[in-house]
Amino acid sequence: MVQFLNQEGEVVQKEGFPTFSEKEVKKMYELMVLARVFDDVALKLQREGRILTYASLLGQEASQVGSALAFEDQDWFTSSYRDNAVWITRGFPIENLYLYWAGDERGMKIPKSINALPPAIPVGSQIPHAVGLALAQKLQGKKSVAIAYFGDGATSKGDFYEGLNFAGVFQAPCVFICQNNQWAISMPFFRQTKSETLAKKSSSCGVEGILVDGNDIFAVYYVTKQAINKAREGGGPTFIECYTYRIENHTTADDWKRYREAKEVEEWKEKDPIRRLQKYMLKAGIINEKYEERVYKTAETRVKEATQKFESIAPPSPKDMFQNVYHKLTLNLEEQLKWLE
Amino acid sequence: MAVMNLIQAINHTLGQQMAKDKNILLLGEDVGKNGGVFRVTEGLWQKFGDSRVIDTPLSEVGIISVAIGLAIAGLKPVLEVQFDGFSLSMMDQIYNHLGRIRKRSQGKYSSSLVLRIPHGGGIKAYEHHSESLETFFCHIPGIKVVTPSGPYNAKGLLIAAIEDPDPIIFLEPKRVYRAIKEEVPEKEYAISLPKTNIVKEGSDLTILAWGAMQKITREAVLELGDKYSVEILDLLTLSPLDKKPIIDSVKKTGRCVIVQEAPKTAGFGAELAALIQQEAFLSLEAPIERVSAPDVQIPLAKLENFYIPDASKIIKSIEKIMSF
Amino acid sequence: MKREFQFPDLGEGIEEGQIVKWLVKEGDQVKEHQAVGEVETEKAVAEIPSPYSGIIIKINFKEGESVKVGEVLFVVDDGQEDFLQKETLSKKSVKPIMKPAGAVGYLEEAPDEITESKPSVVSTPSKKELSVLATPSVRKLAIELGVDLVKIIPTGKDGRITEEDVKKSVKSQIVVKKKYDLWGYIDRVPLKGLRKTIAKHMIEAVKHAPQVTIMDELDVTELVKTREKESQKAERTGVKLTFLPFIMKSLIPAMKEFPLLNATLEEETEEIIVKKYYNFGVAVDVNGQGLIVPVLKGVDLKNIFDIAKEVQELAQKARERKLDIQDLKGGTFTITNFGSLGSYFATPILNYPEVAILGIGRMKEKPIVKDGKIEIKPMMPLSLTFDHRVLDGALAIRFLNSLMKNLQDPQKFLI
Repeated sequence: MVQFLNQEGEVVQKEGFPTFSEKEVKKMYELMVLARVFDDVALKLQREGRILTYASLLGQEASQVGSALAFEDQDWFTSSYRDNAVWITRGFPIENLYLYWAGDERGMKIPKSINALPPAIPVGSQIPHAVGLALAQKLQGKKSVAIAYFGDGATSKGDFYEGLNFAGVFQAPCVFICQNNQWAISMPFFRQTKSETLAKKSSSCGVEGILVDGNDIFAVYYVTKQAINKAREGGGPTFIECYTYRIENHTTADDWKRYREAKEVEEWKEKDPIRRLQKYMLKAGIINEKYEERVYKTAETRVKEATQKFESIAPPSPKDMFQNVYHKLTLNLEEQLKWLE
Repeated sequence: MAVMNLIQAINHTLGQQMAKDKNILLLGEDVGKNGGVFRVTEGLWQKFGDSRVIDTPLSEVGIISVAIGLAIAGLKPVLEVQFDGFSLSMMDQIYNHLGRIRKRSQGKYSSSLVLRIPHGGGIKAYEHHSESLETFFCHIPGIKVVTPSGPYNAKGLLIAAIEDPDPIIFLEPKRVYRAIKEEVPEKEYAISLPKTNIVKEGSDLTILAWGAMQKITREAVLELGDKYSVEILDLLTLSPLDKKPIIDSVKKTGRCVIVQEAPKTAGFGAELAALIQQEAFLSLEAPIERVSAPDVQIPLAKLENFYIPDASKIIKSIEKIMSF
Repeated sequence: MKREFQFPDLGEGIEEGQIVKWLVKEGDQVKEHQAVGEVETEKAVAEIPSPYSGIIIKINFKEGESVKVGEVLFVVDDGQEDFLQKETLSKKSVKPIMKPAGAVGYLEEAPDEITESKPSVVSTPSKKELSVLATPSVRKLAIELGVDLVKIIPTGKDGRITEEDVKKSVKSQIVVKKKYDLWGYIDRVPLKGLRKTIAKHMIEAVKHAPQVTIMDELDVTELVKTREKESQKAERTGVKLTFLPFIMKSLIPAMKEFPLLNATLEEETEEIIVKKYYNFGVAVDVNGQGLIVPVLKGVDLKNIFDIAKEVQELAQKARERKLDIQDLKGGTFTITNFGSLGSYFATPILNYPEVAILGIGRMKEKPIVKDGKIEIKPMMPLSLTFDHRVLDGALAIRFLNSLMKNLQDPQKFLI
């Protein structure tokens, strides 16, 4: 397992340890904090009845931010419902995320600068899409790559194997990022697969598999960057298993106490990715307490503004249902729209 | 007699049948310790153990295809899919194998199993959690499609489904999972398939509805009061269809409104309309009216209520037909 | 703007909670997401965050009280202007209770009592007794022509109404107003309704019974006097006393003397049915559209005044077409009073199968020769038609004489 930082923020692997500028490290930290504040407020908004069912990413900040920082705007990504920090890192407006999770489709208006598909709800179905997007870059002679985000549960699906196999056969410039958070709703990792690791699964498709400490943002960034560079240079696909943990419920409608031990959750809280980086930064003398306070304050202000913004948007019109069903409204839909009115 | 909601009634029936028949086993994602995402199988894993209540890897295709093998070998799998949209990945296995194995093996094998699918929308969920796909299943030869509308008939239908020698798609109206409470007898009773239930007799107009739309239809009729004498039919089985009560009713009333939650085009209501025009053509006093969702993707929560037929849309259609 | 905070779903299938304590009081300033209180549920004590920044202006539940999902827990004034319509501040919410489903989504929760969404299963009687079978095109034609399909007798296959049936039914309803024949313009008036019934009935009478009419007149000086005297008495009870009740009463002794006049002939059995009861029909003109003959039953048992009253009522009902079918049945003899319009003698046609009918013409003063002297007397003309199969002229004349004799002594019917 690739790891540079241990739980205490100590560098345990000097060889290959990437050199990051202070600015780069701060950016990683600030984005993880923003993701956490966003996530925390989302859980509160749900409890206050202001957004609907929400899937928390708590504990997976390093896997999402670290990997998402490693690619460029022209690259593509596909993701699932738990990857909000990927979206935030790529610059997607926070208010749009809230709007979407409040049950308003207009939240998924993706800015021009982002090449991404809306989060896929059917588990694993987005994996082959990334392969197609990647293959298209290759066929069109572009240097862009595609990244597929998914979880441990998705590796049980045919889509996963089919996607990986195509990527291997056609050497698609694709990076598969599997956040193994060890729980697929109530199903623990050891019941999901008999494979020792998920990274091993890719070798059967001829795709390089790497296991990385998903709570070590340096390791995640490093491994992803390498894989992306490899893909960009025509070296083919890579599968990355980010070993991490789902601290929260599957979604706000779930209750983990029904199927797992509190002890396990507490153990993983100790491995918190943000605290790990913070300890490293303190040791490295990059930051002080004031900085930390300021980072949280900035994140809270941004999230608060986003909350106000999404709640000030007037509800959608029933007519919106008829938009974007087809390129143009069909005669049939025109009639049905009239009947609705 | 115990008062139960739909979830409790199905849970109780599964437990009762599993205790009686050791061949019955449950398969699905999170159906074990967690009791299923809607808690339908709650407590059954604790009672019957790992080998009878099987938490599967996250793979709908795996669940259905493995279950076909289990069934052919003589077990009686009762499967759970978490949400409608996820059943679509099973279609290859359902169409090509589940519905065909009897034919392919010249009658030697059958894959008699029950596939439970929480059905329809109205629960403010994510994408792919709220579809009404009954038409897809009804179009598959060799598959029977059953849908209860309340706790009482859920028990009778589930027992009949488990006992049936053919594969059954059991569509559970998830929106009313907890919204209807009825008395459910402890004793076993099977509602023989196919079955169209006459909920209320009337002489002016026939309404055909199934699943969650049955509750909405009854609310609409209650709201109308004595204005018209409405006959309400509950289609507990969609395929095969219990045609006679439908035809008799429309011959009597001369008018028919069909309420379906799914999009209009090529929905199950179209099949019913075709049947009625063929069998009760000379009795029709007005065109057959369909109340349905529009031909668009079911929207997320903010617009869901505009999409799914409600009492006001049903009343609007009744008035249209009565004043034809 | 006042903002209500409803007790939300806490994500674990909770319906109800108990307020453990309030961390704020009314009037306090709170920040968004700030914990304002603690609620104990079946599972844990949970902090309740405020969704709004502002001042707590109302707390609806005391510590220790229970709150259900959806109920308004507290109200915050966020200091913002109210752009929306004012909502009433209510403690109870009427929204259905929605609880998290278990993985994704929310489910409506039924109240504990059994759901009563079922309309009554009591069957309602079918309104339509006749089912109509018709193709849509025929139904469309019927709507266009304003034809009620229920009233049409079908001639098509399996009892279905054809296009021709609809068209025919329309023809019979239309009166062709202007038409001409060889010699000029004419009107075609359909023979229908009452007219048609009368026509049929008259044909039947003429076809079956050879009819003879005899006529006579008599001096009714006494009758006029008696009627004048008694009519004042009658008027007090709202009854107009005519000559008719006297004629009816006078018929009784005559009929008792000559029973064949109160009889019918039954052709099938070749028997004369002599009636021992005296039910007299009275022909009433229904607003110029035809005659209806209501029957006054038990004339022999009633006094002059009762008869007068009842005749008046029957005539009224006949003109309004409100007679019961029973009022038209059971007659043994009929009286027709054509004299009200002016004629003196007539040849009435039998109200078949009765054996005789009495016609009364217009009474008028006439010079008559009495004991060799000419005197002016009020004279009443009588025309009696009888069925010659049952009786002969001699008997009829004797009967008429007997009647006339009775009429000359009206006093005896007042006792």
